[in-house]
Amino acid sequence: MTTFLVFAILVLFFMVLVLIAKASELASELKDGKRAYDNQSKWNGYFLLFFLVAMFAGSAYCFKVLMPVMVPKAVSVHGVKTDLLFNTTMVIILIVFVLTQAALFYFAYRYNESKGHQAYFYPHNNTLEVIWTVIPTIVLTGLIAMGMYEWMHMFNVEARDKKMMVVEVTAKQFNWMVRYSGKDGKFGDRIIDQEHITPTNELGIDWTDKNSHDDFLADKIYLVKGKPVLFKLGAQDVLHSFFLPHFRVKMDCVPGIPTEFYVEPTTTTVEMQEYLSTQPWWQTINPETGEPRWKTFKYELACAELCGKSHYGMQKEVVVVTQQEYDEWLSKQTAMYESVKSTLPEKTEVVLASMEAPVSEIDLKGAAETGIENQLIAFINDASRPVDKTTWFSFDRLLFETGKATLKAESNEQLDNMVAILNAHPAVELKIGGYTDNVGKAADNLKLSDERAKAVKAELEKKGIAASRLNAEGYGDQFPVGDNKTEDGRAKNRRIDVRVTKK
Amino acid sequence: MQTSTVDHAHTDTHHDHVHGHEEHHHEETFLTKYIFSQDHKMISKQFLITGIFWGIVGGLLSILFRLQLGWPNETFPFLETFLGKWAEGGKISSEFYYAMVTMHGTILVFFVLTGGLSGTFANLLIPYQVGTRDMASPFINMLSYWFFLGASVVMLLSFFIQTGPASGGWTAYPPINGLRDTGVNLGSGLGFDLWILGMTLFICSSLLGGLNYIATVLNQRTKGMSMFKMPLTMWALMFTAVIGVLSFPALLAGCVLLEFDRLLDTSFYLNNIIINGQLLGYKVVLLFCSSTCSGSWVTRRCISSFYQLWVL
Ligand code: HEM
Ligand SMILES: [Cu+2]
Repeated sequence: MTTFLVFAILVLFFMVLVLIAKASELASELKDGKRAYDNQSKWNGYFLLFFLVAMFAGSAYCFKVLMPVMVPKAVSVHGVKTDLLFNTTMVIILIVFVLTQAALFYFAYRYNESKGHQAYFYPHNNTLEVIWTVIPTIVLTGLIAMGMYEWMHMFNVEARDKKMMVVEVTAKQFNWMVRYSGKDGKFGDRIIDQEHITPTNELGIDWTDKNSHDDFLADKIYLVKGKPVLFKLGAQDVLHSFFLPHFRVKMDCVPGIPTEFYVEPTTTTVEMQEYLSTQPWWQTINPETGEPRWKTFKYELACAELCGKSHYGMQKEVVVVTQQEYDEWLSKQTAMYESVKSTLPEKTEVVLASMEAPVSEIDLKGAAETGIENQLIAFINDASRPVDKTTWFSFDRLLFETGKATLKAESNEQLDNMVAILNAHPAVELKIGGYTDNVGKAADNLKLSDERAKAVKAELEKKGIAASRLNAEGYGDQFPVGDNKTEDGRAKNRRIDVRVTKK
Repeated sequence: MQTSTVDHAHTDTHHDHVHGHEEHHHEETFLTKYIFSQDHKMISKQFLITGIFWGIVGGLLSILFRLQLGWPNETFPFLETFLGKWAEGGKISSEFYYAMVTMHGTILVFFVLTGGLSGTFANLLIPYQVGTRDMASPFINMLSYWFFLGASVVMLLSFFIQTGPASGGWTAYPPINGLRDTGVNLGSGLGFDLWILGMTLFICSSLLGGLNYIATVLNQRTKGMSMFKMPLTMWALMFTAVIGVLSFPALLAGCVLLEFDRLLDTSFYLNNIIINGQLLGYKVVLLFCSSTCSGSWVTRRCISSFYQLWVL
């Protein structure tokens, strides 16, 4: 409250000063009849001249003091060119700035209003107009052409090095998820839907895609000196911006629109520290660490698009190293899959009909020689194939009424075959899995698939199989075997699979 | 001095002119002369004063957030006195920092440069330099100022609400501004509703003003003043107005659609984004529902076309 009062008093005091000045001016005008205006205009001229000098001196001082503190030299191939472009523009602007501002303020001083002075009326001059239109046009066109030329180089997809690294960066409130493709150089697919995006799988990685099994998340971005890298950028929630100031990289990360940036780092972090150790400002001691500033220098990734309350905290370290150091680092990373593997729902491999299998002696109805029944029997008979959680047999002739868990009559043949197999191998126990395509709500699909699996179990029990030998579970639209984008694929995905749990 | 002589000359001719008609008509009351004035010079002064007010507010904001930028680890107890919970312990909170930057940008670009400068100079200079007594429609000119004042009041009010003013950047990009969720961004609550209301009023003001400037320059030039004899300033002001009239409606449409997303659960700008681990999909699918991409693109287009205003 006292601060507020002090502040209010200061404001009032200032107002009183202005009023006193005004009053004394009026008083002197009344006293000797001289127009204060003439004097004012002269003083205005002096002030403007003073302002001109002060402004140039101030700008020069800022350049001197602040330039050494600014982000140091560019450390990417395109960054050097960007800087050249920037500096060229800056020099041209500075020249024009100095000339026009000097003229502006000098003229205001030189030709200030005074008694008996008439302004010279000079309305038009074609030559001058052409000059000040044509010259800026040429200069600006030149600058834009230079810029376009560099831009096209930076974003020329054909000119990219085929052996470049690819790093995937996904932004979210409020951190960066940096994914490397691991040893195989291939990223596992990502599926952006309710089911795949979970707290343990924020990127929605499709673990059934084997390429994902060696992908890893890095806590720092490691790059190799001289090795181009393509950053594939994305965002999950709001706009962010991928900003690597030292590399002169800035690219928006937009939910729903992939963006990318191709960079070739030219200087390792250590080399950069060595370079900075020769720079005066960087040699000064940082009071927080008690060491020269260059010692703790790091390349940095920051977010450059206001994205919410902790936007300022969206930072990550970038480390540029040699190939050898990179390989060493790479070998120490653990794949994401390792930590999630145990939590994944069982099953990854589905055995389909039409694969070779020996014909069994069990009497099967309507089953082709390569049919799924024979595959199952082959598995049961083959002692070298252990019971596991990943081998499922896809029964292709168990059909249901649309949207219901009622088995159609033609399913009977395959049901009877299952009963025959179970009767021939009394030790065998089975798990029945129900699946759907991805049409409709995931929760509804899950329920339906569960009901269907249980319907099959109930049917087998009716045909005399002990309930204790059977287990049933629905998996909804997970684990598709066909492409959900085609009707054919969706038909394949609406199915019942069977896994041997004991033999 | 100079303006006031012109003022006199002008009112004198005005006197002579209306004398023959009704006596009471030209007697201006305080209200018609200073408040609901239809005189381009007075309206220009109204714009000027409001613009200066905003200039001071915008400048003050920049001082406050520069304090934080320049001395990130210092505390300034007087800030707590003025800002209360926004600067607990004398340190500006990150949320209020963003709110101030956002409002600084909004205020300086729209309320100072567009409203304050364009409103002041176009209103003052156009009638003088094309040689006409006043704008094509003095009444619309008056409305233009009052919409501007309305916009100003709404924007100013938004500083004093509990969740603070808009804080998602002056560009108002979705999705961050498309969610009416103060958990995602504090200023995306009521503050941004007020921002949109303020901008809507502001755009009305700019359109009314701009149409008036264009009509005046095109139709009210004095005898002998062809377009090519017109001063360069007039060309500049007319082009500014033309670009404004072309781009502001798009910006307005963008803002209104954004507010639909916020209040009516439409999905012009929002879908397939993940907030707090929840995937937001099409909430209500409208006939011409667009994806995030085209949505933010529309706003960007409006903003970037709007940028061209400053080229002139
Ligand atoms: C009084 C002198 C001024 C100072 C010291 C100043 C300072 C700043 C600073 C430091 C920022 C960046 C804050 C941040 O991102 O953390 C900023 C943002 C901005 N300023 Fe100024 N500024 C001044 C005048 C102006 C003027 C005259 C304009 C009008 C064109 C303007 C328009 C903007 C805009 C559009 C932004 C971006 C706001 C946003 O990101 O939403 N500023 N200003
Ligand atoms: Cu961010």
